[in-house]
Amino acid sequence: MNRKKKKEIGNLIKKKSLWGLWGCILLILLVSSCFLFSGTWVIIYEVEDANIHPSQSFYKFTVDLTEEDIWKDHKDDIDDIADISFTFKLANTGDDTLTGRVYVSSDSVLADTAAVKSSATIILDGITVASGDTLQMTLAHYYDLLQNFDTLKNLVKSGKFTAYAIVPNAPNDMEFFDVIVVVTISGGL
Amino acid sequence: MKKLIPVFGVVLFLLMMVSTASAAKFSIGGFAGVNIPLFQEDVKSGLLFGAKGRIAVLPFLGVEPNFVYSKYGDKDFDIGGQSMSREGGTITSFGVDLLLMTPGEFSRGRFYALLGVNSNSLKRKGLADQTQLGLSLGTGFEFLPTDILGIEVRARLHGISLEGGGGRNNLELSGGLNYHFGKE
Repeated sequence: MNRKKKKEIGNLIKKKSLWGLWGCILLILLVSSCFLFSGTWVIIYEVEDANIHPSQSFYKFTVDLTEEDIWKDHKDDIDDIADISFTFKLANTGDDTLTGRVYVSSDSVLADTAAVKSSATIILDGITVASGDTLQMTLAHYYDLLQNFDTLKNLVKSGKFTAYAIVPNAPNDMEFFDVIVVVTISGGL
Repeated sequence: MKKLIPVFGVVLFLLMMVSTASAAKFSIGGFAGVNIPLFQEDVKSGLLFGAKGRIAVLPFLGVEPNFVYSKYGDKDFDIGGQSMSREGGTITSFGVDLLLMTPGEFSRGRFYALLGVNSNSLKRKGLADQTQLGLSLGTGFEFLPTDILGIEVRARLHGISLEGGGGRNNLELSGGLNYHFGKE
């Protein structure tokens, strides 16, 4: 085979390789288009104190994200709930140390603590407030206590859920207030 | 991540051997810079650093296995009039980029475009760790003041898919040094 022919074959291979390369690049870009055009948005949802209801040994409030502007703007493109956190204040007005837990459920009418414990999902455990103290649940503290994130995430995905804060002696010896829920949604741009 | 480091080392070693055998040009380098989240309200910019090897398989085509460790900066939120901070998290990434380079040396420097795939381990306090596929595309310039030393700047878009859908996109701006072996 002469040199000219070898060069022609070499050029042909190079040309075909380049087309293959561009084909791969195009394929990768097509496959990845679903996540390359994504973003995250944060909803800071303040629960009105008037919407926190004391009941038999628990406080409850319902979070309805569907009325939030960010949720409305992205509701058709939400891929996932990337993050959720709760901040609140818990004042212990009694003589004993309070220990508390927070549960979440899609059911907003659980009647008593037994129903909450059996039907709802615990997300925060080990909350303690000394007598006469007020606990500020910060983001840092929240993530130290958080559990069952995946269940919480699936509940939040529906846009509406109810949280139950259970403490012994509530509601007489405590105040539960300044509740704020921070939700990060992930979705298409 | 610890399991992946030896794998990365073996891959790098094999590439060096192949490179030496075929007398292709090969370089290793380190870099550092800033990781800028794009369209992400829940994190801030953070630092990154990494290492890579590069084989010029053809005068215009390079293959680059790489490791990048990047951080997201903590995000401060105004919650009920109080500033609270959410930890940003980290990404540990192992991947391979394909480089289309300007052939030969142009005023002792070369431009290139890159496209690559990578495996990314995402960690953030309170959330389950996840390892996800990512893609990178970008551009860079390497200046070669000597035959063996290259000074490089790079802008790389790094998109990472998330477990539940959607993704996180980051713009990585970095600068670094490369040490070259062999001849083109």
